[in-house]
Amino acid sequence: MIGKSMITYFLNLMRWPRRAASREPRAARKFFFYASRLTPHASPTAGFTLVELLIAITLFSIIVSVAVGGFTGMLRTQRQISSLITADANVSFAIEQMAREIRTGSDFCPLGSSGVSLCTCPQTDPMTGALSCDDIAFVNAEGQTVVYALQGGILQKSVDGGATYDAVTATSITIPYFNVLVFGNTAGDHWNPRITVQIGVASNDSTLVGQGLNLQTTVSARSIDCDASGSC
Amino acid sequence: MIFHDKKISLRRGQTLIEALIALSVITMGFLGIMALLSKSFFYNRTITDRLTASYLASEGVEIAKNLIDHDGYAKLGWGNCFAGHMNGGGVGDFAFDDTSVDCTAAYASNMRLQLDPTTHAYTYQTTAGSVATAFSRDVRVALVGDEITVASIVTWDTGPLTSQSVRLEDHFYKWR
Repeated sequence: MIGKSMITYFLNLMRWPRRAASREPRAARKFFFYASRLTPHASPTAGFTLVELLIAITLFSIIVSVAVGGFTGMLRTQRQISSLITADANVSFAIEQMAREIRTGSDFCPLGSSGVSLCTCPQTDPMTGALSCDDIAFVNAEGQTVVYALQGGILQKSVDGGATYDAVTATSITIPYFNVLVFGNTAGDHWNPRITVQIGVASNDSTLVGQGLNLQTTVSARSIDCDASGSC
Repeated sequence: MIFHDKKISLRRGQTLIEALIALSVITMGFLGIMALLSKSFFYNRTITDRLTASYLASEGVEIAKNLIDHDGYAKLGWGNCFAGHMNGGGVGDFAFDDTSVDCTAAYASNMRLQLDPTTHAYTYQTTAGSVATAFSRDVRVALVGDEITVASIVTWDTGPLTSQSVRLEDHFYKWR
């Protein structure tokens, strides 16, 4: 009756060993604990058998490998989330700063000292006439000629008309694209300059390919749209 | 052994039940942390969508303001752009995007903003290769006397979280 002996065995296991040990050994106990170290008559020098040792080592290594795998997985996930948060925070800061500065800015895409526009706009929208630019230059509320441009995957800002640049976004993230649409920028065209900023962000973490973010916002500059003669 | 005559054996090990309970407690702890981490991926996605939506909503208000100001500069009359495109009751729903130069684009609830993978533009224009995003933007304009109320409502779904929305509202007064 293996089934009955098993039940008795487990019931005995659940008992407090002191009580169990003080009892007369039952048939079931004799069956399972024969020559076991748990019996009061065991020799103090008794060791493990080879099979016991092998089973113990196998179980231990399985449990440890699962635990270590889970733990490294958790560390990796934590790192990925951390870099996603960094990417979000960086691009959020960049687009907010640009939007606020453009809103109070004026004189979009001004001419530089060489007479060439400070904006690089390779395309024009045939429908609206908006310029599609790779960077944006304008005069901010403090009178500085500001240029925002993408260089080497990092958004850069210049306050001296493009002579020197400072990084806006961190080196731990990559900005894959930065486009600016400039609409209504001609003086006297009855439009406030309407600037659309499109910016992407990607983490430098190689395990996060394709987890990027596409942000877009439009700002209507508050500068009054006067024509060349100053008539508004 | 000094204590060899005591009833409690010092060599007593753990029972199987004790070991099982210990293991299950550890496993539950690990599972909890893992569930938390996989949740945090989802929440990151939610936050990312919210960030995108809030800038898209802000875009809607700015475009409406740009069109209102255009009426002023061109001396077309207050709210001229929206007049004639209202649903009735002095309220109109518009599908503005950065290409809008007038107020002819009406919004319908099934419209989704399209993202062009080459120009990275969110518009209501369908171009070759453009992908419908989860975002939908309704610019609701109410025209009452000298006040124009513009509400830019962006709705989207993030996985099981459906009908998420951001609503930005601005009021414009006759300045000319």
